[in-house]
Amino acid sequence: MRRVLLLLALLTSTAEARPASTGFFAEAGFGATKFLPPDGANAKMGPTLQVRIGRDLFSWASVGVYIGASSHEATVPPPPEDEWFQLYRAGGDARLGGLIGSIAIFAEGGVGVTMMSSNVLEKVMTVEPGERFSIGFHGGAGFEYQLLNRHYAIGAAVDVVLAPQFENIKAIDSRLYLRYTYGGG
Amino acid sequence: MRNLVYLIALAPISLLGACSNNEPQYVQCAPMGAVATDVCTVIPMDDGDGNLIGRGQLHVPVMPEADWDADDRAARTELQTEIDRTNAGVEVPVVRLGHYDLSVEWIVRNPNATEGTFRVDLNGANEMFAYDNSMIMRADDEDPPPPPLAGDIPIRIPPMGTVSGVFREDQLLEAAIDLDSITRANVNPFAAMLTINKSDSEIAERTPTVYDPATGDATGGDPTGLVIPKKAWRQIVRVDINFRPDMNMTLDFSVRLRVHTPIIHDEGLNAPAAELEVYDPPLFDPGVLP
Repeated sequence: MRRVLLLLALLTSTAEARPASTGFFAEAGFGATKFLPPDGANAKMGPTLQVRIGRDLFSWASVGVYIGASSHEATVPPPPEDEWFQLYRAGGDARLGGLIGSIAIFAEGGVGVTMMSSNVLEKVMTVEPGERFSIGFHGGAGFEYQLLNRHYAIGAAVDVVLAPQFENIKAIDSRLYLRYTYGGG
Repeated sequence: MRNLVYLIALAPISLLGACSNNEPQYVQCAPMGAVATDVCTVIPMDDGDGNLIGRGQLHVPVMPEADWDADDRAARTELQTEIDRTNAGVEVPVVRLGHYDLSVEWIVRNPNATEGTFRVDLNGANEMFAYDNSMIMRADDEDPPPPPLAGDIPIRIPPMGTVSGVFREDQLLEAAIDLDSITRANVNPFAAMLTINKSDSEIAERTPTVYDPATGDATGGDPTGLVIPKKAWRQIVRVDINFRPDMNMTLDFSVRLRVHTPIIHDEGLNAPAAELEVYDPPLFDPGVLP
């Protein structure tokens, strides 16, 4: 641990932050979403897509809105069998972090709406009859690599997603993304 | 570079496009709901002749017509007016083919240490008649039994094994047409099952066929001149399953709906009783089949 802290201190003291734009930005990412126990047994890991649009308030803080979708194969006791459902998410979030050399690390969190496309998980009582929507919370961290072009960065992030109305279903959402920042600075 | 910005900015639209408005709804039995008599786990019993048979049924959670959107209610009146101009006497049903597609998924479990065989027969009901092939009388016991709307295929199951299957949407569509043909247009069940009607545009009504056991002759079955256009065909509102294994097994099934008109209750059969239209029509009796 001490070595890590020392390394970080050295990086921050010696590495000059690579020029990076701040301002309005857009991100598009893809990855995978995996439900955590106990619901992990009722749905397989599935591909996810997410788009985020926002604004850097400062070089170390930004706010944004996001929309995302993941697709999962339900593994509830049959029947039904081999059926898929989608989890749609949208909302707003905030991100705090800093650029160290060409690497930015950040923590993020947000709140929004989560929608389940079908009632296939009703059989295991993850959703109540007629229930399709839940509040959605997410929080996590990630890092970005600032490319030489100051407008572009690539990154990776991992979030924990929680939907209280869906019997507190929890998932790990991981993604790789490309970020474009419009502004100067 | 600008193109990339546009691409990223337009990505949310593609995600919205991925949100289908035709997502499936899975219907399961609701023992505490309005139709507590529905049976989705079928355990066969001896029928008295040494054969095992189990019967299951599951209603489609259709809302009362009064709770439908005004446009959907008005569509029936408009359709009736249109049909009355050319085919007076044809009644437009409340629940029609275009309102939804349905399929039935099932799984059979064999708890025995020996291989077995079973058959799954699909029957059902529309808003006016129910059809159960096992209840139709035959002129001679040696005659082949009338066919179910779908199924009746012998399937082997391994010891301690499971076998799953599905009656697809196109099979249920054909079953709904056959059911309407048999019960409304007096088509012989064998003829109905042996012909594919889903591409037809109308059904020609026939006079009822009457079998005379004294002479063995059948009369009737002639076209009446009345035709029932496709728009006025009845959809299945209750799925009935006859499970016929050769040893003790269990069958579980559920219904999968794809709703095209919002007449299905979101809560399925767990909806309050007043918000469901439960159709339990009389069993169709064609008399003795020749």
